[in-house]
Amino acid sequence: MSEKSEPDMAPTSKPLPPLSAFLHTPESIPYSSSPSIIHLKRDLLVPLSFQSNDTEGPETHDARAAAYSSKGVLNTRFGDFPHSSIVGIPYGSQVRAAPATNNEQNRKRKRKEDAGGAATAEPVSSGFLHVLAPTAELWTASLPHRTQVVYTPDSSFILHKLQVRPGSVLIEAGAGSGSFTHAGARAVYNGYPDGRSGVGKEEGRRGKVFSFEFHKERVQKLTDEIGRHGLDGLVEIVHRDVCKAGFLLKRKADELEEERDVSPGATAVFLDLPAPWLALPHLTRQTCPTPSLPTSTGLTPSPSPGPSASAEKIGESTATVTAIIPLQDLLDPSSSAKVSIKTEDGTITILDDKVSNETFDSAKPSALSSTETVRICTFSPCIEQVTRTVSVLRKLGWVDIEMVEVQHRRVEVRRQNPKGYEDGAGPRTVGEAVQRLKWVGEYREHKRERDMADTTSTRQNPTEAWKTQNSREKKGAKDGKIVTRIEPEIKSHTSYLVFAVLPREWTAEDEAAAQALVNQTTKGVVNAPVDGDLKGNGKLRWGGEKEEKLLSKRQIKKAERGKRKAEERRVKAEEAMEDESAPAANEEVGEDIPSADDGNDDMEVDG
Amino acid sequence: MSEERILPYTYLLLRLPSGAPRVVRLIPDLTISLGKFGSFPSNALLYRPYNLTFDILDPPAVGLRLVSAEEVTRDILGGGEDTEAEGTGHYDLEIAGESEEDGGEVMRTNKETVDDPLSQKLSWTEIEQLKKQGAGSGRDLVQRLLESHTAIHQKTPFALQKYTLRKTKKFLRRFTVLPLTVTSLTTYLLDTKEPIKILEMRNETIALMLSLANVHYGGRYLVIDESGGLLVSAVAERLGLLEYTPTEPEESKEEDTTRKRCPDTPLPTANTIALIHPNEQPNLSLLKYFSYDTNNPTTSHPLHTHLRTLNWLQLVDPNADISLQRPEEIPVETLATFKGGKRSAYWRKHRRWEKTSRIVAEVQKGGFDGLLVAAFMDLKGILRHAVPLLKGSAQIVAYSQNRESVIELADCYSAARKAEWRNEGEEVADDEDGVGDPTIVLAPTVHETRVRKWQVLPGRTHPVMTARGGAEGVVFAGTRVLPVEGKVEARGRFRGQKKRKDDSNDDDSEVGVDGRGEMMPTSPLKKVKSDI
Repeated sequence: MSEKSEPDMAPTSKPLPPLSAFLHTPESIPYSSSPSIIHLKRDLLVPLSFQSNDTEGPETHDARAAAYSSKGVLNTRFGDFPHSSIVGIPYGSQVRAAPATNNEQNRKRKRKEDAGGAATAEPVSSGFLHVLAPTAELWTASLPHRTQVVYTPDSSFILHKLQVRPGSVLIEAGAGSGSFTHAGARAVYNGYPDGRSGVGKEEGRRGKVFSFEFHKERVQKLTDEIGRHGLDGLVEIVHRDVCKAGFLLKRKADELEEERDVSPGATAVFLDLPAPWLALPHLTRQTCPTPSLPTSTGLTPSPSPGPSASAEKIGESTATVTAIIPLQDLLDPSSSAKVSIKTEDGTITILDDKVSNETFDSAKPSALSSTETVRICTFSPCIEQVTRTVSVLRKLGWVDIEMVEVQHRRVEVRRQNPKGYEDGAGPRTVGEAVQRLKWVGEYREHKRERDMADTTSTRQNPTEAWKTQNSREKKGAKDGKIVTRIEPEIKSHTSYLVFAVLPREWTAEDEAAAQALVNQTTKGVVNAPVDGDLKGNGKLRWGGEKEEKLLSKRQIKKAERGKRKAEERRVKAEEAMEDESAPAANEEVGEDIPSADDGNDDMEVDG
Repeated sequence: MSEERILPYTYLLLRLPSGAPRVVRLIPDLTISLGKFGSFPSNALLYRPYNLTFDILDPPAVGLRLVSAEEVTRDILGGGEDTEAEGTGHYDLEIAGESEEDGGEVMRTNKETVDDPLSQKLSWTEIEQLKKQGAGSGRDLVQRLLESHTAIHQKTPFALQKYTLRKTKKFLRRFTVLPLTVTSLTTYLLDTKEPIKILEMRNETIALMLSLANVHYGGRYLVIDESGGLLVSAVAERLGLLEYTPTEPEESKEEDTTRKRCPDTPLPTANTIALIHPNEQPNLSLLKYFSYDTNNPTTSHPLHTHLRTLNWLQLVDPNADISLQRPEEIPVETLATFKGGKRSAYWRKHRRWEKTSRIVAEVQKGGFDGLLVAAFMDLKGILRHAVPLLKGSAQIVAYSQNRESVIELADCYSAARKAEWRNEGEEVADDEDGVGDPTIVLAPTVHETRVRKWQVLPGRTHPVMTARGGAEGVVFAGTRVLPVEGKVEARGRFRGQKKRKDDSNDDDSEVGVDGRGEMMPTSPLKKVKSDI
């Protein structure tokens, strides 16, 4: 198992590396450091990469694969497969085993079989395997476990609920074995940042996964893996304890400059940490990190007393999310944000002295995207972790907090023997049982008679007779009833998933800007959302007479147009015999009525 | 993408305090009415961010009040901020000083509570009256209800909280604006609309299908969708094809000119969806929520170029389809003599034919990266025609609301079927309703997934008491493979597991013939261990 660096992942001086096989399946299986998934049989998958013969020694990524592969040959109990017989064929191909070679593995196996006895006489038939293109799911099923893995049923639901799409920025903390990292990278992918192979959109943000892990060895292995899999640039692995140090990235603009903190600008966060509530204070909207989470005692494992300030409580006077601002900002008159801290004794507890020093650096950006909704998911196995997490989330202004668990099972399908006979089972119906018992009685009678008479006439043994009458043999693959059962071992509990949403921060200035935009673009029936502080945007009233008239004229025109369109559409629909659920245009108000199916007058024309 | 605002002409999902969702389209200069909860001008939401909660102002005033997250949380907890602060405190326990023998702690119960419908002094007419003139967006009313309840002091704190919460849900005139995404649309359709139309597909099912089918940006996917376009939108969302800024639905004249230009531009070859539909026209009515109407497509919408549709006739028997017959060629000179209308009709016909035949040819060429099926139709027949169009190692997922049809499908790819096909050739499985060659699908699996919701409240965390029943759909998953020519047999010693019977046809021997397709009764890990 060599760890030497691959030519593929060499620095930028070389031409850009190829696209990841995880994202673009190559036409044929290449010699590459990126693994292919060898499907030996159901649930027995091995990741293996193929190296050309001139590279010394095969590159294997884990001990299991190493056990299979030696000297450019893949040795399995299904036969031996030289790498050269696999490389160059398309993915998904079935590969037949090469004739048995006299290598060490086979010799060992032979010895075992000799000891076993008769079975060796069996001629060697050709086994086979399938070579599959890597996907996040296959990788999850075959990856070398370093920690507990987030399995597909969970990860799929998490990514779906977090609304991770091409172009999203995902923070993952607790990268572990990299299972979720791969699924996440696939979900955010919309082209490489270096424009590799011209894939991806011209404009817009490129999706990225920022993966934090505090275990050094795991970080190294994961970085190595990501590089080999061609996901560099899409995934950034950061070695850090996020509970202490937060999520900001250390970047240098140029060589001379000092390292600056750069925000990843995350739109989705996944925390697979033992204590997610400790990382949450680093995930706020404020422009500075706020590790000084006000907690009731017992929330933090070992809070060391930091600088304490009596909290000033100013009710819900701002439209913004309740935020906790460090002391300095409180004293800063320019700070417009209001503070509302509630602790039992009215003090702020600071987790760590070191952290508290950092809080005074007010130039730090928030790790979250400032203009988008941010969604979070925490993954914890225990209910105690969940209650703590939820309580902190509520304090930090997250809404739509929801906790679920995913229950996933695999169903096994098989055919029963005809009439439902299972191996070794007795009669299947009461009738059969009665018949059989009758036979037994008759036979016993017959046997006694025969013994007495000592004749040689034989009658069939009842068991035999019964067997010949009720054949259990399957006549074909379609014989017998289909039955199902659940897989032998189910993952009855993986973890609890806590989901929450943090809406974007909405300040009085934002509101004013939005209002101005509304005034510009609409016809004038304008009313602003008003809030305690936002009041004074003028009296709440409908637009004047003039606008109303204007509107109604427009309405008439629109209605006419709507009618015309509806007519056209109906004709079209008749021609096409299209589906009944196509939206029927409303004739009266035309397109101003939303064509939502719930058209129960959700909207009505003003005036 | 980097700035999320409520834009005009988008569909929104408004969630009322009761949890009931309403879908509305945000058209500027209109009033949005939420029935008994009141109404507000649509402009009040325009260009504001999503996921915020608003109170509808009381009648004389018109507009909305932004509700802070803190207030929302407090109201969700039923005014239970104090209990929240206590953390693990048992709200139902209280210290009763007198009863020292009990250890001072007595469980407050509902032993003394008497059910009396008269304990609420407010009559419904009074409530109606209050509703009309009440202040504080309904908060006032809730307060009055609490005050006029005679037995309120008898309630345990928990019961009181529950009562407050129930009344809040009923009378608070508040809503949260949510973006209409595939996730929220699915929830909405399942809970409020006819779930049968989307085959009762739940979010977790869709999520699992998208993952198992390896749906990601840049791929080409073959989709069979009879859920009105829900599966198509789910795939499109993962391909980034739903990002579109809708405009005012006007300019019907301009559309004609753009439509002319369209077939000449090269259609994208990656990041596409091909939909096969059973009727002459596809039913993609749900795409309207994402500003795409298939009957009157917007040419600037990404789906216009990235979504192709064809029907089963065009795929299975293209020669029998009239729309695929080449229209009569008219020489340019003759054409010049035609009247304008006739000439444009000729060109339109030509363009349609060109487009359809190109799509059909492209789909028949195959090489798709994945197949996703959600159908009422028989899955076996679908897979029989669709699986050969996939490239090697492509993933297959199929969903049906009845688990029986999925299970039947899985059986078609059983080890016994594969062995039979290999030994006896095509005549075995070649009946009309079969799957065809079973050896091209590897490792058929049936997944069943369900999400269970929990209530998380301090000291009261438990799974929710009721959940949606109905169809328990399951997902079939498999991998398209390219079998080698000729006879293949699995090798390896499978016999150590169980004592062999004389019966040469029991389960063990099937594993011997083809170990891969069979559901292994024993843990695979054990086998790995014995093997290495």
